[in-house]
Amino acid sequence: MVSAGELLLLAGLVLAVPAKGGFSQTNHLVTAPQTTQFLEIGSNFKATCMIINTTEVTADDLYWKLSKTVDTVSKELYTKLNESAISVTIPVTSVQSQWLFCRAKEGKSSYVYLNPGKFMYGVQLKKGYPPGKPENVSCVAVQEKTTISSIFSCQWATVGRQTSDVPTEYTLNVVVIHSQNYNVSTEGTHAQVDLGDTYPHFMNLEVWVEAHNKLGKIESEHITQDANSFVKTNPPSDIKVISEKDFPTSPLMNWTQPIDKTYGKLKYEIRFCAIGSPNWTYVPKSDIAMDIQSFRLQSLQPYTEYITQVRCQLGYWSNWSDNTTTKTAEDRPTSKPDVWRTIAEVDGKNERRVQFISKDPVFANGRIITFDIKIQEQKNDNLQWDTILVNGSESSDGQRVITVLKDMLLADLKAVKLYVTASNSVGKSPMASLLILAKGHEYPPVKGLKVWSAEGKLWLQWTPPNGSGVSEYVVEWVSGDQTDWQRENKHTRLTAIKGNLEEFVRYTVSVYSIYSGRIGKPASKEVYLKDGAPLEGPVRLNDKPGRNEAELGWVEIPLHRRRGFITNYTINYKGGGETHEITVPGNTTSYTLKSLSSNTKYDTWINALTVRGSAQSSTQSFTTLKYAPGEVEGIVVGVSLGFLFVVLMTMLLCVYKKDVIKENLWPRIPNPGESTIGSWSPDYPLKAETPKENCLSGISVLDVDVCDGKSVFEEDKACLPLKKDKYLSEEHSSGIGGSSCMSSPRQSVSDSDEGSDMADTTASTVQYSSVVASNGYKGQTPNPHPQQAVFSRSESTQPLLDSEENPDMMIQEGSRQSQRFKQENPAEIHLLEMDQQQQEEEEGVESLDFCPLDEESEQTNPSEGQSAGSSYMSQREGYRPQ
Amino acid sequence: MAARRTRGTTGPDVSRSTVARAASIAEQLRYECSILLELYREKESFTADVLVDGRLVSVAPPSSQLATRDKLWRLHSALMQCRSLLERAIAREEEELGGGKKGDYETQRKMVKDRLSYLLICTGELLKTAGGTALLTPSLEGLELDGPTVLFELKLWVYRIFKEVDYWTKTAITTLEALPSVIAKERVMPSRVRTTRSTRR
Repeated sequence: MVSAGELLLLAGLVLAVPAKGGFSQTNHLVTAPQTTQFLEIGSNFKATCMIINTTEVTADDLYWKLSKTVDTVSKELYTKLNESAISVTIPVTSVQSQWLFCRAKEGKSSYVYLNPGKFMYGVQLKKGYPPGKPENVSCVAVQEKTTISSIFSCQWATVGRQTSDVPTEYTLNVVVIHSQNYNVSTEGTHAQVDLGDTYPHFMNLEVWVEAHNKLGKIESEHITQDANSFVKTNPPSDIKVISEKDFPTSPLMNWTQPIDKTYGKLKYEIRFCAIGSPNWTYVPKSDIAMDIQSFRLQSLQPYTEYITQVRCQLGYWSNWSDNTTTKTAEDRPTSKPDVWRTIAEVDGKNERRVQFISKDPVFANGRIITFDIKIQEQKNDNLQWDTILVNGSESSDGQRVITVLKDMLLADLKAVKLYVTASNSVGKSPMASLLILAKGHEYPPVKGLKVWSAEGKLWLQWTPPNGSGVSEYVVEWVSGDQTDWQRENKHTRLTAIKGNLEEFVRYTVSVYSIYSGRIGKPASKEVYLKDGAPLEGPVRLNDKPGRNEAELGWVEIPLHRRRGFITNYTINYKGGGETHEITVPGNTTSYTLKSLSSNTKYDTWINALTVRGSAQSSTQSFTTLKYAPGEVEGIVVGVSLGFLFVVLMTMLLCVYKKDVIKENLWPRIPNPGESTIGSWSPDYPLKAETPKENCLSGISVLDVDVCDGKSVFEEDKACLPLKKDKYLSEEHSSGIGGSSCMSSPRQSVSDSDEGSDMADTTASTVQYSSVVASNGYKGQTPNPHPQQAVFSRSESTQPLLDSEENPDMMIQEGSRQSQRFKQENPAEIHLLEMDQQQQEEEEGVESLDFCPLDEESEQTNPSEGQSAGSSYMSQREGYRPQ
Repeated sequence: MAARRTRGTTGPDVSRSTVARAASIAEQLRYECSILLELYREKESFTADVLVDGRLVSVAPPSSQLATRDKLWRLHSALMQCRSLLERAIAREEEELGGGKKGDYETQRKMVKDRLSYLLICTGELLKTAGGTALLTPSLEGLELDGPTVLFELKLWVYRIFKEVDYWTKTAITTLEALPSVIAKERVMPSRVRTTRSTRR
């Protein structure tokens, strides 16, 4: 169904086409509309195509196609108006601009095929959105020199979407009501208009923004306001705050308004803050009248520096003025001085060193000049006030200065009370007091103290002590010799230290409960505000290497370089290509490395660890010893002892086995040629040629006193001198001399018989023995004739050997001999029993046997013994009377 | 900014605020005019003893018997003459002394002229509100709009014009302050009714 309007449009097109001239005459298709179309996205667009000046094609041969698409427009969207016209309605969807072409099928005729350009027509489609209503329109006129600039600046916010094909333009309209209109256009969201050199104060302005594009236009809300409401002046200038002595809490401030008051009445706003305070205090607006140029501030702290600012408002609030700093005047201190104490034990005495310290009152209201103190040790003390002048210097960091009031020694069992007032140039503060109790009488401490670092502060939390009566708490923090404190009210359970704490410094934080001036016991913790890795490693001491171990020692890192709690140390040592690590607790300062290789060089270093990091000591090297300490000495001592042992054993062997050794090494081969026996008895010819006869088998040894020699052998005196020389020389060399050990037992036997007393008394010249050559010797060859007895006597100064003095051995041997005698000659047993000496004499006879063959001969010839015994008896007889 | 979005505000509020606005503008004009005079004296080396006598603006003599409308009319008429004189003085100055210069004096002179225009808008509005006919444009006949040709006389003439503006600004302040908005409303309303009635008749 074709509407009447469309038919009219077609008619118009047909009539219009010839007028267009050449192009239309050659083109057989034409669309309506022909010009570029701006379309709203989401709407439908309808176009018509008409065939003109040809019958080659009909409406059925026409089709529509959009650029940038492959397919033709669906025929469902076509509407055939008549045989020569067709329309299409397409939805506007995409943002991109397109061409909509009307074309004829080329296969209809050769003319169409050969002239495709004449059977095509297009219309450009640009798509977009209608403009959105501008919102939040705001305008301002700022001050320029002493007047308000006529430049009127506005800004607004856009609403809705835009496309590049259909941009939105904004027109700022400003109307000075009943006067002039001003407008300016922009594509942005802000614009300025010049209101003609003179800002229209007190005139009404109407302001609005119109947004418009090809798809429509829309205006923002109209703002009709007094022109002054758009004004933003400069802030007030020349701010002065005047401190007056009579009004220490109410300084007067004045300023110059930025613009003449004929331009409008200005509102003001004032704010101030003490230096260091983070928050501003605002004077209530209701307290500030309009159009003023001075104001008296109230409720400020005396003797405090304040920063003050002012701003004003005509339309908009101006910026705040520059800072004006003023110090209020002094006033009398209105709070007590903050008094505290430090207590140190005195070594060896029952005293405490007490130092009273004080901070200025919180509300010092001026510079504290003096502290007046009174110390009361007894209840009824009536002491005078002492005045302590204060230096007057002020802390630069905002902290109150600590003044030392008094140093004193206080006995442990004594209490003391301090009264303090602080004075400035205006007056005196209320009195503070502090009571230090006798030692051991302190009140209980707080419980469960926790201290931790957070948000750059040290926080404390505690539980009140048992019982009541706590009036306040004192939080004290000590670092080295620096002490500071703060007071907290009795309800405080959690607080932060307000002082300036340093990072990486160890603080001992204590909480004291105060009972109306009486100080309780503290609860303390050590803590860091912020800990870090140590600045340096531990200082190493000299290593003490051993053979398989080494003792390492170190000194704790100085507290100010430690920067944290040492959790542990790691000991690293490297030797033989391997590195080992040992962790030891943080309170250790020495360690012994074990299982080391001897004679090896080791590099060692020690890391001190905190929870934040570590620091390494210098690397030290040591070389383990080749021998353990004392090992060499042990070896030397051992070897020496061994050598000594060997020597001793050898000597003992020599002593005890001298016979065997002598037998083995130096077997005695009697030299008959040198025998002197032959000379002893010149009556008998020498028979050394026959060994049997040379052997002395019947020799007996008899000890006698010096006097014995005189008495017993009186009858032989005649022969003694003759024999004496020979016997001395012969017997010394063969029997008693150092190299020979054969004769000494005989001598010892004789000496022991008589007792050591005698030997001592005969130290100079001892007559050792008398060698008796018995008849038996000769009797080996039976001789019926009585033989002449021959006595040999020897004298020597040679001391007796031990063995010679040992009677036991002799007794054993003697007993053996006595047994033999008992068997062989029972007749003489009684004699042997009577005198052991006689046995020994016989034993000596036996021991003097040079040849075992003689023993045999002796055994086989007991009779000869008897004969020797008879001659012996005679000697005894002569001896006994003594 | 407390944006007041007003559309078509009419009635007592308008007249009340208009009187106040007119008074404020008059105060502002007086201030600016005093600066202009100061600048001019400084510019022309006039001392305070340079006296100019006689009025350039001619209006009906003041009288306490005059109605508000008539007072406004007289004021409005005088201010209109002032603006004409001022515009002429500016033109003559620019003709004689050369234009284009944009110093403090010129800026202030322009500002006074503009401010006077704003004041006229307000007084005109008040006059309309008070029942005075807007069509009744004050006559400028008899004004010495051409001014003297001798330079010194021209300067004195300009000075006289500035003084005349200053005078009538002060008069405006006085008149407007004596014109309470409520009274204005009361007096305006009957006159408007009367005017309407007369129109209808």
